[in-house]
Parts: sequence; structure tokens; C-alpha cells
Amino acid sequence: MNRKAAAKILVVDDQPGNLSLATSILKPFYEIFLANNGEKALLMASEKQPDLLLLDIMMPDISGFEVCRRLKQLENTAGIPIIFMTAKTSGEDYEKAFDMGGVDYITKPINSKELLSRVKTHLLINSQRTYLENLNQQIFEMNSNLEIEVQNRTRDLLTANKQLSSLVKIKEEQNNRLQNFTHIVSHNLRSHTANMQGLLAIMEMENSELFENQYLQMVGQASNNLNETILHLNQVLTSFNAELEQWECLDLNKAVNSTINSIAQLAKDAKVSIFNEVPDDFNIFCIPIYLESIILNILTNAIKYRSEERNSFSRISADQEDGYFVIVFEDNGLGIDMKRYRDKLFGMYKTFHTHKESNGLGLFITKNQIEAMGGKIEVESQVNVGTIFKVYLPYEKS
Amino acid sequence: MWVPSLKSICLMKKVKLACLIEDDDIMVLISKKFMAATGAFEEIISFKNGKEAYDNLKAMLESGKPLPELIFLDLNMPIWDGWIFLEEFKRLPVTDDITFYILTSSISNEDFEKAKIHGLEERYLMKPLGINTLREILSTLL
Repeated sequence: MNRKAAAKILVVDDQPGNLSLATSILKPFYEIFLANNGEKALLMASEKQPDLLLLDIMMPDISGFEVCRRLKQLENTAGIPIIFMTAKTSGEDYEKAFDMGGVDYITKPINSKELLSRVKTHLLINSQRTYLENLNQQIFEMNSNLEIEVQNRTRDLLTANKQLSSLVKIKEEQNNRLQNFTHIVSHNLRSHTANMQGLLAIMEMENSELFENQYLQMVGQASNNLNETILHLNQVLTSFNAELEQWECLDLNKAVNSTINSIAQLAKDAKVSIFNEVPDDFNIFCIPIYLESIILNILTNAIKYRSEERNSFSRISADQEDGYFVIVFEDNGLGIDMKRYRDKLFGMYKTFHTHKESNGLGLFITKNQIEAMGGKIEVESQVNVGTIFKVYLPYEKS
Repeated sequence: MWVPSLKSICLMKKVKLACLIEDDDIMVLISKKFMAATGAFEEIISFKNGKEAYDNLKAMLESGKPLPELIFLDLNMPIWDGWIFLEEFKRLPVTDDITFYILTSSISNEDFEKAKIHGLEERYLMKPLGINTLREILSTLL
């Protein structure tokens, strides 16, 4: 047993001789409190909270049994184990002692060994009982907490599940609508423009002089523009259907190089130097056709919107940051007025330059493709200084 | 405009029978006009959907008539689309050498991927059929 604090024992007896005898036996091992009548015994038991009570049965004011009965009725004393002491050896008292709630019974004259041994045993039993009760209480509390927790979690899960399945349903419906819409664009709308183009071509073949008419020329132009718009729209819609696309590991350095090669002539004619500063073996898990299209879009933008006033360059580098691969495109071109255009930069059919080749679709598609891969795009730009595009792609998937 | 010289017309072999499978009347007219303009087609027949084409071609096959040497096949058609026609036609005991071209207005990737499965990615044409495309086709065919 833990010896840090000695156990407290309250001895109750109306005979001073008995009290001093018990004291002399127990004092070396325990902290002793004494009471020479029932009244005092009740007071001290409540006040001192002893670990054990040695209680004489035959006392003049209140009998030991009565003291015991009252103690057992009070909440703060009911748990104190009581050992009765009496000179009597009748069977009746012996039985009553246990009936009243006593844990043991010692007959006088007191035998020191017997007293010590019984006291020790009951203190041990009591401390273990307390320990078990505490443990039990803790287990009970943990259990009820657990039950509440399980109920909460179950409810949360059910709610989440409901939300999820309704989301899945909405998503499915949206997907279906999107696919229907894509079909309308790629087939139905397209077939009418094909007819218009075909009819115009026949007219040109059979009556080419008709095309001297300016209005007919404009019809031809309008038909071509319509066709081009439908092609763009189809491209945009296809970028919404990312689930259908193939994810692969892509060597970024090589992908950038091959894009640079594909626009080498364009860059040379425009006198724009392009530097690939992506480290070797920088692998990104992505949808390759998207990433290639993103690189192409941003680089051709850099060429289109170069400044004629200086030697133009575009620089591509890559790094890792907070769970993202970051691809940085930096140029010293015309720049974009961010105050005015920040909100519109990635909108459909928004152009910020009066350039003849700007169709206002590139950045819209680029943003869609990046977001379809779970990423984001950021822009810093200053008019007549240059633009930095940062493409963030999550690398948890890699 | 391309005007065939007398010499080239005399030397040129002709496609005896070509076939258009196409539900859009305007597109049939456009294609026929350009085909006629090449002067390289003796006869052109057309069917309004895959099923009609299949039934007629099957009847021609069974009665021992020669089948078209060249078929332009649209994809999106009512009743049987181009894909069903291809699947079913492949099961017929055809011994004639027939060249298929897909002629579609579809700009959907999905259709192009399907064409690959049928080995027709090299013969995937965008509408409208133009005179230059026709000339290229004829030069490989004749």
C-alpha cells in the first residue's frame, strides 16, 4: 500500500483503558482519532473522514449499533468500513454487527496481533474497493461519453451521407445536362454551320461572280466566325468533363521543352526568348493534354502580348510550396491593368488587348483546366512591366 | 476554280458507283454537287439512314449487283447511326473492295476515338465535303 499518507482510524470506546490500548497498538502505523461516546463519534467521523472505524457496541449515550446506523445513512460517512468491538461474545451481537453493515467484529480483550491484522486487511479491502469504484465510475463515464460520441458521429455521418448522395445526384444531373449540351454543340449546331459553309462553297464554285457582292462576303465571314465559335465552345465544354480524361505522370521539363519547340518559329518571328528553367526530373501527376494546353496558352499569350519597346523574354520555372507544385511563367510584356481587370481576367470572351489574335478564350480554358486538376492560378501584373502567372497543382495525388 | 483539262478527263478512270449515307438533304445536295464537279463519278446513290443503306446494300449484294466502290458515311442519323451501320455491314459476306470514309459534322473527340476502333481515323472527314478533299480521295482511289 501507498505509505505516503498513513490511513486514518477513528477509535470509539467509552472506556479510556480500551482507547489507550488501541492507540498504543495502532499509533505506530496509523493516524489515530479517538472518541469516548457516540455523539463525538458521529461528529468526528463526518469531520475527519477516517478510512476505518473501530466501534464499541456498548456505550452509555448512543450504542455502537445506533452510531453505525446513522453513519450508514449519511452520504459522506456511509462508505467508511466499521469494525465492531465488544466484550460480548453472544451469537446475536455477532450477527447484528454484520446485519448493521459492519465489515468485521473483534472481541475484547483486544489481541494486538488480531487487531493489527484485521485493521490492515480491511484498509486494504477498502482501498481496493475505492479504487475499483473509481475505475468503474470512470469506465461508466467513458462509456456514456462514448455512446454520446457514437450517436453524434452516426448522426453526422447520416447527414453527411444524405448531403453527399444528393450532391452526387445533382452532379450526375449536371453531368448529363452538360453532356447533352456538349452533344448539341458538337453535333447539332455544327451540322448547320457545315451546311452553310457547304452551300456558300457551291455558290462560289458555280457563280463566283456573286461573291463580288459585299453582303455575300459578309455572310461567308459570319458563317466562318460562327463555326469557329462553336469549335471554341466545344473545347470549353470538353474541359469541364475532366473525369473522362487520362491522368499520368508528366516530366514537366520535357513537356515545356516540347511546347517551346512547337512554337519556336512563332517566338523567333516575334523575337521573344523563352527560357526553360524547370529542374530535370520534375514530375507532375496531371492530365497531360490539359497541362500541355495550359503551357501553350500562357506562352503564346506571352508572345502575342510582348512589348515592342524592349527585348522580350518569357521564363518558366517550377517549385514546390505548401502541398502544391508551382509552375511560374514570367514575362516582360505589355502587362495587364489588374485594378481594372482582375475580376474579368479569366472570364469567357474577355480580352484586354486590342490584339488581332486575341479571342478571349485562352485564359478561360486555362483556368478551367487547372481547376479540373484540383489546382488554382494566380496572376501578378503591371502595365508595361510584365506579368507573372503562377499555376498551382496539388501534389498529394503524385 | 479547277478546270480539268481534256487530257486528264480522257485518261481518268471513273468511280462507277459511289454512295452517300446521310440524313441531311442539304448536305446530300452539297456533296453531290462537288462530286459531280470532279466529273469522276458515273453514278451516285444516297440513303437517308444506316438502316435504309444496310437494307438496300444487302439486297444489291444478294441479287449479285456490284456494290459501291466508295461510301461516305455520316455518323449521327436516325434509326441506325453510322456506327450501327458499320457493325452490321461488316457481318455481310462482302467480297467487293469498298472504301469507307466517315463524313461528319461532329467535332466531338469521342466520335474520333470510336473511328480509331474501326481503323477509320485516316478516313475521317469534316463536313462540308470540298473539292480539294475529293480530289485527294480520287487520287488515292483511282
